[in-house]
Amino acid sequence: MSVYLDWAATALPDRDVLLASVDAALSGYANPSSVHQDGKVAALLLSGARDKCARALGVRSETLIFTSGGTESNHLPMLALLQRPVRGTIAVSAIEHPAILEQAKMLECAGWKTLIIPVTKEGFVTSEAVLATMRDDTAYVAVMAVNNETGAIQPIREIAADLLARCAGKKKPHFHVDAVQAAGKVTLDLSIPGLDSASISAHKLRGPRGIGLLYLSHRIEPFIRGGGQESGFRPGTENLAGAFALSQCLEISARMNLEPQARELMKQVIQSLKSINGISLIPESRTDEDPRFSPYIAQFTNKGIPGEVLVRALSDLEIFISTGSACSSKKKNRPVLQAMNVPPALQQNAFRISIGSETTMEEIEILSNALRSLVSGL
Amino acid sequence: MDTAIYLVKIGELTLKGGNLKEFEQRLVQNVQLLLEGYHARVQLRAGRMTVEGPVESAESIEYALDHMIGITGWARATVVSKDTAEMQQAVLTEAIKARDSGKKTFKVEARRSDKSFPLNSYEIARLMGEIVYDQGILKVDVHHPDILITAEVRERCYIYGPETTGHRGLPCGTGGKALLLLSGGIDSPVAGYRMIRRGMKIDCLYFHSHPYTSPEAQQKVEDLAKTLAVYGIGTHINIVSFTAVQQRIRDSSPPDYATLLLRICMMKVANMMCKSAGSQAIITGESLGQVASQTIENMTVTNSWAEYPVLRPLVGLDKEEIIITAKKIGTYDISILPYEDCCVLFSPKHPVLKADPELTKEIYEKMNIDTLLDESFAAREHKRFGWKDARQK
Repeated sequence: MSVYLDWAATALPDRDVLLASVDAALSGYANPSSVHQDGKVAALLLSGARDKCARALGVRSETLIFTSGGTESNHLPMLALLQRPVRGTIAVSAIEHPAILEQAKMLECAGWKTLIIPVTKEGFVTSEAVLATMRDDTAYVAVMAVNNETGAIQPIREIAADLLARCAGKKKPHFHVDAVQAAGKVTLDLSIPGLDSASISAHKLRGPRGIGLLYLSHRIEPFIRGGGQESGFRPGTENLAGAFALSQCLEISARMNLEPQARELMKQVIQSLKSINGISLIPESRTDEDPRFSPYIAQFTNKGIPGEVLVRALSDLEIFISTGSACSSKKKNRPVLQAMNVPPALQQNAFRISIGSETTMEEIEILSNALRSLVSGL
Repeated sequence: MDTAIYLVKIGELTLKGGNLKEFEQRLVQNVQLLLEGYHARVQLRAGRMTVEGPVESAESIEYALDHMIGITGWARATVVSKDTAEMQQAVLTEAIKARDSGKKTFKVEARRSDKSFPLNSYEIARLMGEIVYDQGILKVDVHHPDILITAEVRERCYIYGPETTGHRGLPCGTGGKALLLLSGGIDSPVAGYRMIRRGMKIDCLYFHSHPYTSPEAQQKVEDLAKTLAVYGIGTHINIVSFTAVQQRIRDSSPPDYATLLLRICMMKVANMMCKSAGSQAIITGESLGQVASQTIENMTVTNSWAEYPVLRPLVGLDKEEIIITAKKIGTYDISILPYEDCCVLFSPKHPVLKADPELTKEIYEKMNIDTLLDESFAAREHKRFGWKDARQK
């Protein structure tokens, strides 16, 4: 039996949710835009899914747009900038996911300039840093809700409020929050004033890949044009099965509230791994039950073995983890850890443990025993 | 059934004396092997090879000739009877093809090995050129023509346009058998190719250190072996795990000697492999001074541990020269994939540059590593790649 501790890359799929979504795909086979009876059935299923997502997230249904996943949800508000007559600057935090940082480079090709918001050595983006980085021509600010490598929860509420205050009377920059690692996992209030958009992905919530959500607090000019689906903001025939599955996932997460259980498990992870000679946490100041971090993600490092080697050695023992962001695991550099000023040797030896609702104490014990012998043996 | 006919030049082979037949036979055999299943007929007569096969096999025949060692060039020819009108017609067709692909000037060359043919080479060339010129298809340029059209009068008459350059060298299998130390880098596949071109049949030996190195690194080396398999008419790759060996070196020797000791251990295993497979030499991709382990002093030390001649075909080449060949033979793009085949953990910051042979021996013996090497060798993995593996890769 394998031990899966790479939930932040992709959560273990929920079999019931996937099977129910197949039923939804079959009963809602018709195009939701079609006016005949079966089309109406599909449209009804789709709006039902949207309402369910809205209830789980505590927002209005009209603010939710189904997309193909986190990356697209992150891109759409950025692409909308291209329609502005005047180019300016965008400010993104140094620890954003490549879906934002790489797309920022695309915007640079179109005449926009990127400003990087620095982070503290613990991996937090402070409201002061955001305001200090911004310029008068800053049209877009992105700060993620939970960092995918360290689990650091960012002060989104404070940043949103300070952005509003600073720009009182003037046009406020669009504030986007990558909530992919936060939604359904940690307390997340999308309806706070000053937050303009947020991204969510189903496969981080035990749903299928290829479906996500973009929360848009108010309408912005769409970049992609087509058949007018998703209020005209994201044209293309809707992924009904995916939307249905995502709504189930969000509903389950909201109903179950697994955060306390996760906190207990993560406490165990941190305690048992820290007790191994040579292994330490990133950042080191993180405590066993640190409320500043997501209880689902922790980044560790060790004195002797490159993270990549450790991942392979654990994989031989059927224990599955990643070094950091699964999306960039083929690259060797660690920009998030670099932004936190982690020494290069510790960056190279870093690895991530991410847990989920099915993780057990037993699995954590298997992991820590394996790490104990690997770190001393390799 | 339409037939595609290729005329192949064999170059260097013609310099051979008494054993010419043996070389020719091997070349024919190699071409036949690469074309197994394609219904091709291979013949070698009077210094010229012809390959004939159904047009459906044309692509495979061209692939085989493109990768064949021991030929200097080849061209797809039109075969006509020894009738000047028919010959002119074929030349005209070649000229029109050339004009349509943007060529402006031409020259006709003729060869006549059938001396009973009434016209001599000069007269044939003139007659063939005349019709292209008269019809105003291309202009004549005898010094720097855009296209050279050749008419060869042999047992039949062959007309052909531009030639594709071959790999030259001697047919694989005429120069003995050697073991190539293959890594994922740029150099070693080129070294292997160069020795295949001198007629050698090669097997490969690769060392991995999982989990320190990734499965992708090994896949890369296997892909390189597959690429070499086409030129070498198949190859065997032997994969030896060196994790325990590297750990032993790290734990029981001075760090600055680690790289050199690793090379020595590789040589020792290469000795075992040569003995087991009947190889007569060891090939490495070393180039003098390229890295610390490739100084003359260090090469002398590693050399002293080899029980077989160590061939270093790249020893006097610089990186740029090696890269040119790597690109030509299709290994460069595989070699530059970002999967390293040795872990930084085992590479010393300041490796010894001028190792002392006696001291090295002393350190080596202290490690007590021979049993470990025997075990690693015994646990090796073996794979065979045919030439088709590369085409399907």
